[in-house]
Amino acid sequence: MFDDVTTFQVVVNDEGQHSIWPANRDRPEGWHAEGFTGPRDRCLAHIDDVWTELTPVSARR
Amino acid sequence: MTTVHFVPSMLAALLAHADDDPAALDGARAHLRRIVCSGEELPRPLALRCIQALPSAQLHNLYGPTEAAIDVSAWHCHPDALATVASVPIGRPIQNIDLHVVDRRGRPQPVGVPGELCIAGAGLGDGYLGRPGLTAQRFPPDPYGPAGTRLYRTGDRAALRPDGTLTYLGRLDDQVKLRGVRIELGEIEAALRERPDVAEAVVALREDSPGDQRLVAYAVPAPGTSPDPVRLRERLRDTLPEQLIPASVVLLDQLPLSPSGKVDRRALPAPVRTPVTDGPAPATPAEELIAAVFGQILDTTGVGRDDSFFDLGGHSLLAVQVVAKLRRPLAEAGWAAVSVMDLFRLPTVAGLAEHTTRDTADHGPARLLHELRPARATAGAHLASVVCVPYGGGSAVVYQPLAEALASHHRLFSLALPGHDLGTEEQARPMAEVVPAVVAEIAAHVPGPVIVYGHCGVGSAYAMAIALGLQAAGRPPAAVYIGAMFPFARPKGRLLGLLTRLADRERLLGDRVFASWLTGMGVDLSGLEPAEVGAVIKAMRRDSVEAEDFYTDLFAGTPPRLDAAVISIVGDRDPATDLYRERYREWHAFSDHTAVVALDEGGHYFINHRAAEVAQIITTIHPALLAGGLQAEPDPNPSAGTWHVRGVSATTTVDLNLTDPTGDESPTGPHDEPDGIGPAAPKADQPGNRPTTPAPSMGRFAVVALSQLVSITGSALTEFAVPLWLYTQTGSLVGFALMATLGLVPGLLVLPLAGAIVDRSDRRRVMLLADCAAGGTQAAMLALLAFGRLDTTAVYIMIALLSVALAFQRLAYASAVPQLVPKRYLGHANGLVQMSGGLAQLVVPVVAVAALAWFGIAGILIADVLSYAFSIGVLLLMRFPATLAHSRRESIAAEIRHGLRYSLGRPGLRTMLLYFAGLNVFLSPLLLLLSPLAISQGDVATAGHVAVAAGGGALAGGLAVGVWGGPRTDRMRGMLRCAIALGACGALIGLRPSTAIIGTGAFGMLFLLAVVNGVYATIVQTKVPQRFHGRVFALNTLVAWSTIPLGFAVIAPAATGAAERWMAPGGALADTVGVLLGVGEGRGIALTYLVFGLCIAAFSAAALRHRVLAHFDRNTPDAEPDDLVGLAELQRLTATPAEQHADPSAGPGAERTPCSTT
Repeated sequence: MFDDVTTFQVVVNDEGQHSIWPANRDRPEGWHAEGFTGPRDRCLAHIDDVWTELTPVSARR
Repeated sequence: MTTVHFVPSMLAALLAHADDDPAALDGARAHLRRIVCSGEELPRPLALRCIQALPSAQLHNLYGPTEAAIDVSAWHCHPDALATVASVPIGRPIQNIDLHVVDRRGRPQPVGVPGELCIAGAGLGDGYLGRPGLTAQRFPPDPYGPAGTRLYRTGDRAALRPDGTLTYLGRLDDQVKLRGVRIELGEIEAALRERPDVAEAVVALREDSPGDQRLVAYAVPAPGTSPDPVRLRERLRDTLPEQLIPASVVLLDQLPLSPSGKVDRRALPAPVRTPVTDGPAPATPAEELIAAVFGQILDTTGVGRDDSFFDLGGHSLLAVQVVAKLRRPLAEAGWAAVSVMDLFRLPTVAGLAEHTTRDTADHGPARLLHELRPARATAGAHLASVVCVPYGGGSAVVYQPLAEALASHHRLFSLALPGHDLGTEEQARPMAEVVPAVVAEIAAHVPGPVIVYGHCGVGSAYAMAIALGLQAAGRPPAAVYIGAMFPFARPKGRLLGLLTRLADRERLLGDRVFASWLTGMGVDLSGLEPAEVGAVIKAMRRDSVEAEDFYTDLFAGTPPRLDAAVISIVGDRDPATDLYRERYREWHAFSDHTAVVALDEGGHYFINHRAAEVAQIITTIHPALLAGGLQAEPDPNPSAGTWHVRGVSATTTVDLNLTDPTGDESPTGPHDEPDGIGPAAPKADQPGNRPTTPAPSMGRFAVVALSQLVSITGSALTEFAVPLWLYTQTGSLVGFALMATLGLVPGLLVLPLAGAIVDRSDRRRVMLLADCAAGGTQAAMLALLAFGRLDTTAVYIMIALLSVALAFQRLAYASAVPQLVPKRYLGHANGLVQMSGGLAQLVVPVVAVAALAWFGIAGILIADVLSYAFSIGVLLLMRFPATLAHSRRESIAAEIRHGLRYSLGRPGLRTMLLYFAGLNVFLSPLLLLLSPLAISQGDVATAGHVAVAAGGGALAGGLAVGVWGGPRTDRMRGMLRCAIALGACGALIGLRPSTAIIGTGAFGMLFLLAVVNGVYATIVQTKVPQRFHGRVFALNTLVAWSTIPLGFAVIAPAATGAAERWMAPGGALADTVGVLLGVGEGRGIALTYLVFGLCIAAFSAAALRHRVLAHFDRNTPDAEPDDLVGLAELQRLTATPAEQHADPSAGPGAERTPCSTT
């Protein structure tokens, strides 16, 4: 999927889950821009740094 | 136990027990009610066997990854349903799960179209513990589900069936690429499993010896059978195309399993290189020889007399090696030679041996045309035969892909030119002999109608000749298709002919240059010995000359006419067929009907990789053309499709000798050049419609070229003499350096703008304006000189302006050359321009010094202004034809930008770039300071002598690297070693206060610089795909030249200023270094040479040891064939417009070219 895309944006949903999406496409509903954009590997590396809690927000506690 | 759930491999193991002991399953048969399989693909044969062995148990195939509820879909293997499917489906999704099959852009695929399987729904796991990045990668947002939900990308391929169930098609990474062809391993595995004697099968792409990739199939025989692997492989030919046939089939008792019970591919054994045949061994000496060579090339032993070369794993590239290796032994034994075509016809040891030992008298004349049959013969009414001529350096088998693509209704006959096969000693025969023989063979053996196809120079010439021969013999061809070439000829006038022969650098070019060029174009020479490569290239040269002679002679007279249309097929990225939108009409010399079809993103050798499209074109275009329904497609890209008709033309009169538009009605006299057809006038078929613009001609070109040569020499004189003169007046080294910078940099800075303007404007107008500007600045200088107001500031300004004007002039002139000449002479015209320019550079220093001495600066300026007056006058009087000039495909700025992205992503190129930047920082002062050093040693005349030595060195170096071609391997290391030597020469220059030493050092330095540049060009040629060369060269030039201002304006003056003080008598270094170098004026410069020269040597030596550069040759793969790059680009272009703007050359991965994603 998205094999030919070179620039991605880091996105987050309300559960605090991060993912990546092509930078020049509209984000699906429920996903917000985290702010970081760049090539695939850099985005994933950024997510490695900032996404600390994989448990969804609604499941925490 | 009533229910079992395990992986299919375990099921297979369970059922295997029953083979040994029929009673083993009795208990299972009695109690088992449900068998659930998941975790792996459930092969259909296995499912059938399970139902047979355990009829009362329901079999369910489940699918699902750990990341999503373990199993997400299920299919009940009901016996009736199983009978109707080719493979066991994975069924429908379970509750709360959705399954999507998506394409590479994430959009849903229609029914039946394979794509990546993605899972959505409540069953998705949260992620991979401690691996947020990986989690993000594998779980993208779900664009189809509720807000904020995700998908899981399984990495599996699947397709939706009409009934809503899904078929599993294997892993996405089970697609491999072998020799440019994409292969589904699953397809081969499925074909094997269909054999009744095969229980399980797995196929892998192995590279057990480096560089030799082979498909190896592993099969587990069905119980009770012992299949022969060779026969198995043969039977695969019934259902699979040639490229999918594995090199060998290895039988295993069982497939190795990982701890989780799935097939462990890494544990598959390397195939033992013995053919598993018990066939008879070679019996005769000839058979033994051939079997031995087979074994050597295929790295196997025990080759039997009935073994076929291709069954043992051979392919066409290896076939060339076999034939080359057999040549001498066969000759020594007195047996007949074996050609590549012979090997294709008689691939067994016995067959080939019988052929070679048969008394040569029984052989009959060697056939020139060989029919290439597709692997899967299909029946169909015969529509036409296609006669194909290969390109220079290619053999007849290059048309095999085209034969495969044409398949059913066409038969393909390929021409094997005598003397081109590495296996035979057969001499090449001249075209005049071969063509009639081919025509005779066609009459005897080729059923009609005949379509003729020729690729590139040689192919096109032979194709035209054969077509003309067929016409004359009363069997006119249905159509003639010419690929990747337009007519090319030599000018025939006495003077021009002589000059062109002198300027023909190609004769001087060494074999290695050809080989690098071939590799750069994607022709694979890697398997051949140097001697073999030499033979190929020798044949190429000979063919090239013959082909050119063919066209030259034809155009000198009136070529005969063909009834058939001549249609050009070109790759739109091929520089050889630049300007095709105009040039295709040159074929009107032979036919009334022409057209041109362009392949999107096609390179020069598209026949190798775009055979399917070529097959479409040659079967559909000429009928449409003759029916009158063919039209050029409007620009830009309107329709889908990967090729487009770009021009259609018809004419009823052809006037090779166009009347002169100024009224002179005489046809060409003995001293005139025959003009080309004027393609400018689209209505050339209307009688009485005189073209209003002149036709291109060599005469016209010669006059313009001469005038430009004069003016360019004039400005070179000025550029050389004025700084020298000013230096002698002011003695300021800083000023000298500044002037040199101002003479270079403004022109460089304005280059992108100039390029853009030139491309959009009338070339003649730009040349005129540029000439006026250049001449004007010099006239201004002259005037200021006359009034005694020529001070340094004024000179600086004028020189800068001159630099800008010259940039425009040179660009406009270079791009105007194609406009002026009949384009079939374009190659030679460019050669003439280059040669004259090079000679002028050499001559200028001598003349400048002499002129400066005799006439002073005023004299030089006057001469220069006069030279411009001459060239302006010529341009005013001369009208340019309305033909196409050369246009850049992309602007210089874009080229540099793209070159930057391409190079930065590849460590090898990136490091090389940095090295050149560093090298130039030290080198440019050394180049600049030659004249001041020489003057300090003697006088202005000395400067002239040293400049001549330097120019001579550059010329000799260019010639040397052209003839030598650079090192065959380890080019980067070779280049760096030359750079070390270059540094040594630089140091030598400063060593002693002696003109002889300075001159020698200068010669050596420039010689080695030319060699370094030549080797660098070869590196780019071989490691970068052809279409990106322009970008990489543009960037490297920019980087190299951008350090020049640093060297000129900063380092040189600073260093020489301080150094001059140290080396003055009584200066700081006078007693130490000064003993060797001498003291006094200019010795500071000498010290700079010594130090910088040593720096260059040391820097290059360090680069030689740098990790990236030391292993550059080994780690950087050779460039992918240009057409494969084009294919990848084509796939990208079918993406959404937003994604199209992404740069194709800024690819993923460091050293790989952009197609690694396919």
